Amino acid sequence: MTLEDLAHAIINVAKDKPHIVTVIGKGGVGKTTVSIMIADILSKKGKVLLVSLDQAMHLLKYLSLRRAHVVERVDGELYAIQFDLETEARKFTGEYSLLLRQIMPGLKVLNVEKVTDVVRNSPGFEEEVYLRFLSKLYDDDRYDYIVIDTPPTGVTLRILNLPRMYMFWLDNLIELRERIVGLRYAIQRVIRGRAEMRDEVLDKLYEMKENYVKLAGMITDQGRTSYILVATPEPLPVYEVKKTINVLRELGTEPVGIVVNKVIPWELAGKMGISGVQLESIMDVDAIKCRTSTCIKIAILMNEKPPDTLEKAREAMVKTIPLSATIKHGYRSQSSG
Amino acid sequence: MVGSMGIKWILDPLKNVVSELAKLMEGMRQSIKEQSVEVLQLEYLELENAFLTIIFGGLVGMPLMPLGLSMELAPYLMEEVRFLESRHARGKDTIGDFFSSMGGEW
Repeated sequence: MTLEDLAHAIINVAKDKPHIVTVIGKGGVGKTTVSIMIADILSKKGKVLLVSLDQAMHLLKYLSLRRAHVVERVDGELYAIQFDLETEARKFTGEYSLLLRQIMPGLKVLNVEKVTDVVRNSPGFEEEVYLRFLSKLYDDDRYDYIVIDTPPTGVTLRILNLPRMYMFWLDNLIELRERIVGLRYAIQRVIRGRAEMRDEVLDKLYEMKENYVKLAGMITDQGRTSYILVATPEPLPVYEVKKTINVLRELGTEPVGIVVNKVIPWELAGKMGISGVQLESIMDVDAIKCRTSTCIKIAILMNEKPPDTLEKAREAMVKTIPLSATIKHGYRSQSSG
Repeated sequence: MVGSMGIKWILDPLKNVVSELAKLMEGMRQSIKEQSVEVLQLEYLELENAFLTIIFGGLVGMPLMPLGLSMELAPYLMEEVRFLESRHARGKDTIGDFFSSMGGEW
């Protein structure tokens, strides 16, 4: 099992374009590297956009992108963009503030200049910005595959949960609005003898609900979205992988693969005194029961230097081996040690 | 004797009038003072209400909804917001609200 096999598994399950490949993992495990590798393989089969939502912005350096938030062609059918949260957030705060000023001129009492700050610092605002961007990606059918290098796990899982949370709010709002419209209809009938049942706000609420149901569906549809989980052979990143799988299952989906990155060659790991922890962590990943036959588990051996260019990432792909093989090597090295 | 009695007969009521006049003036002064801060007091009370609602709203089942949803709905609620604002400005005019809720010209 190699990264090529993982990419083929994705190609096999992909139904509609764009198929979104979401790479999730703890900070520093090599999500960007794995995303580059997967995107590079997929670009041999179709047009690929690699998007990094991670605000560490490693993609800029790795692919020598000129600036953030602009799509650039990297090589062949591979395109890339480093998402800039601040740029996108500024756009939203501007739009929201303008809207609030138009709708509620009374906000002047509360110092309208502060409205922008209030919007920017509202709880959940950043996740909201990410979600809107993600929603736009699902509609971008110029690409066959869109590979997303995500922000650290906690933020990513909150973003994936947002549509469900919004649906809860919308259900309650719809119920309330239906009561209001019903009452208004009854009052108008009594007073005027005729009444209008149609309500613009209620129509909008139905439309919003439909959009979020669709988005939540695409996020959990394995034909539209594949999840790759990345960890290093250490207890905490592996623990995060397990937690992420639980959240994905709660949402109703499964990862297509798990990559254990930066596996230190066993001889060196033995000298460093960490071969025991490494073997235990890898076995922990191996023990994770996948519910789908397509879940592929692989290991990438550590490079002397992180592969910080496309060429180096391609070279590093050669060092990809099946997880089971890594465990065998680990046992052998432990027993000989 | 009769003269001094006569003056007292005139002076006492005059004193009362002056005293009442002073009380009236004091009342008017107090009233002007209170009227001048009435608007500020209304604003103060409303802001305090808003402040407490923001802080304790969650405890009484008034969670703040996600900003994105509020903004998506906002353009469709402009008329309602204006209505809410005008009702808010009337504040304590309960009788006025009552009659206006019944509709028609009053």
